[in-house]
Amino acid sequence: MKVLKEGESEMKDKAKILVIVVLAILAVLTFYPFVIMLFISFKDISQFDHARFTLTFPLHWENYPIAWKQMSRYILNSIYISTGTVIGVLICGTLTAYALARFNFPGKMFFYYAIISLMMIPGILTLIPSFVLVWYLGLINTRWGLWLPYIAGGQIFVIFVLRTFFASIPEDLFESARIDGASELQSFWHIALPLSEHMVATLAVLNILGTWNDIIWPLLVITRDELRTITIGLLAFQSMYVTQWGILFAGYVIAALPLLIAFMFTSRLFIEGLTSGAIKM
Amino acid sequence: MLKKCLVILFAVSLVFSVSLAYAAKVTIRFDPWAYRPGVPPQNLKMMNVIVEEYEKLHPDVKIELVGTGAYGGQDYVTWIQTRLLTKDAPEVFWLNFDQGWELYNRGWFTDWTPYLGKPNPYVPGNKRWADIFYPYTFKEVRAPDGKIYDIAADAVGTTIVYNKDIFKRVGVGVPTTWGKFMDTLAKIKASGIIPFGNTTFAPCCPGYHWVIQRIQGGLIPKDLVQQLDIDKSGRVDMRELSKAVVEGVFRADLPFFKESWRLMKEFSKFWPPGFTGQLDLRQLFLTEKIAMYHAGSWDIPVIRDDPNRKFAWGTMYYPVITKQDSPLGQNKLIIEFGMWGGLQWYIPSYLPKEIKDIAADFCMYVSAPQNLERLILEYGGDIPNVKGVKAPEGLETIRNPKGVTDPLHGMVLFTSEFMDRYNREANNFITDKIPFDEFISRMQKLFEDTAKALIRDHPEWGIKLQ
Amino acid sequence: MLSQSNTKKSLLREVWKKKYAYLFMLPTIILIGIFSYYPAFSAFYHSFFQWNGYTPGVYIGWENYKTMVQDPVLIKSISNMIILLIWGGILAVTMPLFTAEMIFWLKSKKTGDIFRFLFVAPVVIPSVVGWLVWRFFYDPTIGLFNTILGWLGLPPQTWLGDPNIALYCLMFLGFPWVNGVSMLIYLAGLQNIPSEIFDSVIVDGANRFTRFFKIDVPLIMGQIKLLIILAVIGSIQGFTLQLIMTNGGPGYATMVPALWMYLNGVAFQKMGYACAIGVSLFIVIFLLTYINTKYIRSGTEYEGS
Repeated sequence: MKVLKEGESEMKDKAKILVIVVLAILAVLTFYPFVIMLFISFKDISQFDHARFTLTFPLHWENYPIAWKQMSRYILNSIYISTGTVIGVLICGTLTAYALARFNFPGKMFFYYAIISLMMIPGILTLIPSFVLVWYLGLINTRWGLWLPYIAGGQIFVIFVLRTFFASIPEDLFESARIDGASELQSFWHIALPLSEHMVATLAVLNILGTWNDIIWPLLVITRDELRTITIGLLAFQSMYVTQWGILFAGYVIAALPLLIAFMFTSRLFIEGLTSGAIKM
Repeated sequence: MLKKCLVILFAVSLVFSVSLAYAAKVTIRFDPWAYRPGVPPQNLKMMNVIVEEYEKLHPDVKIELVGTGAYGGQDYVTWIQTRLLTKDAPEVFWLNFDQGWELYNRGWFTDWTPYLGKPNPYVPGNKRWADIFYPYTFKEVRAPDGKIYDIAADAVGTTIVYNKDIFKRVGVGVPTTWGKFMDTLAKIKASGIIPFGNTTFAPCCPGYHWVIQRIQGGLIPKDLVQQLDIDKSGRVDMRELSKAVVEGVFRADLPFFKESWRLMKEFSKFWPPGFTGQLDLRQLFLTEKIAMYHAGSWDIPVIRDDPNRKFAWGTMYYPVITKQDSPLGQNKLIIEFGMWGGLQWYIPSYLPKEIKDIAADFCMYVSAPQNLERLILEYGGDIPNVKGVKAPEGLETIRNPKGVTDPLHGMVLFTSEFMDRYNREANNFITDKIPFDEFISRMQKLFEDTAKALIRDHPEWGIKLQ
Repeated sequence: MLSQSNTKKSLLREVWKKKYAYLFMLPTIILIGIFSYYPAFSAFYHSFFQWNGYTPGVYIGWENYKTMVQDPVLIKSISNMIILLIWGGILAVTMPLFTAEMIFWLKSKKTGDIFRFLFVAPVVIPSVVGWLVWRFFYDPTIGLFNTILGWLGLPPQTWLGDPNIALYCLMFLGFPWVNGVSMLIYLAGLQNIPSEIFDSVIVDGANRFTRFFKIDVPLIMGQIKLLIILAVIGSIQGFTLQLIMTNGGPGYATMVPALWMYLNGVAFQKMGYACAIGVSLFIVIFLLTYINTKYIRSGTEYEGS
């Protein structure tokens, strides 16, 4: 009787190679836009017109410093906004998801539907009313004008996804904790969160993604240059007539790097390495 | 003694603080869009120079150059509306004149007319500011209520660019009339090259909008124009057209309208396959897949300076529609240049009069020929609307004193919704999804519906619906 | 009489007993109460107005809804939406799940992580890149697909310019449809399955396919349902793809209700009408979500105590 570690299988070598080949083909077909983005970031307008998707020489490295100059003063702002948002989203979202998953209380289903139905309302209809609300509250040109609506909106997805995770944790783990006298908060912190760490990390990255690349909301709420985010900085390269594609894409590459780094921190190796000492029941 | 000192101290500090308040600077935020300094890769400088000169002349005024991005697009229109709503728009902001027509009745804009009647102190001998502009400038931007909300100091234009090498190979010359134009296109097509690049994904640009201006402008009878243009401004605005539609004076089955679309359909045979989708015409032209296309003035510097371009190129006027080409041909040279340039100035209406006066004064300074010319020549992508200012190299043919513009102005007849539906129905007709009569009757319905809705929304026009 | 006040008393007692539940949800409720519900109600409210989105509107009662049910563009676009809806649902439960499974069963975690990165990294790049690429693929003159057809001796197509196949071109876009976010959610779900379950199955001698259907799928049914709901919401509300690639055309061939709503609200300044369309879409999504939650059993979820 073989005892296997998680994820291990008795895959024959043939099957393993087949899987890797299929995955590699799919990966190439999925990843190539990334490569193309890199190629375009080194082009000038003429190269963009003549040979759009291949690597063209000479490489216009200067696109990067030009884009960087336009973006650098905004990067810290983007980091503040996205970090603040994800912290708020995780706090509010995990707590609510836990309550909806593991407690039975009057109005539970009502709250659940009331929360997720907010995802079903098309965003463009609420854009200007949200703007007017933020204006009335005096939050125009403040970081809170970005954080609070982002947290309010971002937590809904987290609640939606995390509720199913929390709900699938076997009850006996909580039962034994309750017998040992743990409070609900302790059950939440020591059982539910560690068991869902992959999902929580994933959701954190997805949330950062959403706020990092958002254009319209920061455009409307922030007019002071000191508070602008990088997406607004990059708008300077687009207009209704001519778009500076090479520089714009260099900007996109630069903007993508922090996200990619953040994402690598959510890999299996990283998380399991980090939490191997977590308290488990 | 002490009391006297205190009184003197108080008086001195009062005088000091009052004069400080007067000495405090007024800040005018000015959005120069494409002329904004320091934006790579062009890295313009002239606007900063102009601002510095002005601030030296007026030490109590500070000019702040501001800008967002994505000008002209839907995001920008949303942005400027939120700024006007929160009374935080730049003191001189940018907006396309036709986008302004859809918003003017919200009371957000200042009427420039009083300022245009004043003398411009920066132009020696000038009695009225309006006089330094070409007259068609105001004709083009005037709002349906007769007011001028937008001063356009520059303009963009369109022209046909063609591949001289392909023309030489095929053995054709530059056609000057419509019939010869069709022959040229046929010869090029027979040689296996796509003759003319156009894409009708959206009404503009180029789309049907640029083309229909040349065609319907060349066909519309003079007496009809006189009938429609009640205020004799030289163009038919949405108010005049709405009136004409509900009175039955303007109908989709008028001969010139039907003939325009008949010619359009003939022309469309020479467009690239799949022209109803998005095509990158400049890319197709530069890689020699199409022999010519309808280019905007902003494309010309790109074509001109392209180091990888392997062929000689030129620009040509649109062919004239003569009586031989069509029974309705008016033999007019139609040019198109539109006020969709970078120097369009609006002032929000909620500002106090003193601020408006200062903002207007700065605009007067920028528009003075000696200053405007420096801006225009440095940027090189737009043509000036002020007399005596040189146009950038390569753009001289865009404005031809012998040419006239389409009094109807293409598809920009009513609202965005009108243009959107017009474009879809036109695509349906040109791609043979609906027959010609069906297209005309749908257009008639569209004219009527839009005119009626506009009249209902603008009671101030005083047009009665039967 | 007595039973009513008893019920009320026991309800209040129940609420007090479970007060920690409400406390857990408090930050959420405050935030969405202010920042999410007010704009949402505004959308419902303004669907009864003729409104441009900025300045005060004119009350017109059910006018917008009446216009809506008679709007030929909207009615025609519903069939496009249904096609995209079914397609979206299919995509949500096939390729991402298939890919997540394969990555999950790789022996080496490092290889798994590399593949995971490759599939998810494209999520950070702005969509404009994908659109440029696919517009090129579909270009009738210089595009890749027509070039391939040329090699095979087949006639070229106008793809997005052809009203008959434009919609299918949009559906094909994104091939091989391994959506990074969906795959990530499925993968995290699989990684969450306690390893003891797999050990016991190995002992019983089940092969991989049986394992997939009998174990994996039921255990991640929660995520499957969730991604179906997200696909439903996305297909019904989504319009940026159509806006950028075809603008709903040629003519109205690829128009969907959400795009019509966007055009009316943002481009045509008819936001009141757009709100009416949006409210209707909301109702449809809500019903479909309710059906999905209620009637597709997940079996292994904890119902609460």
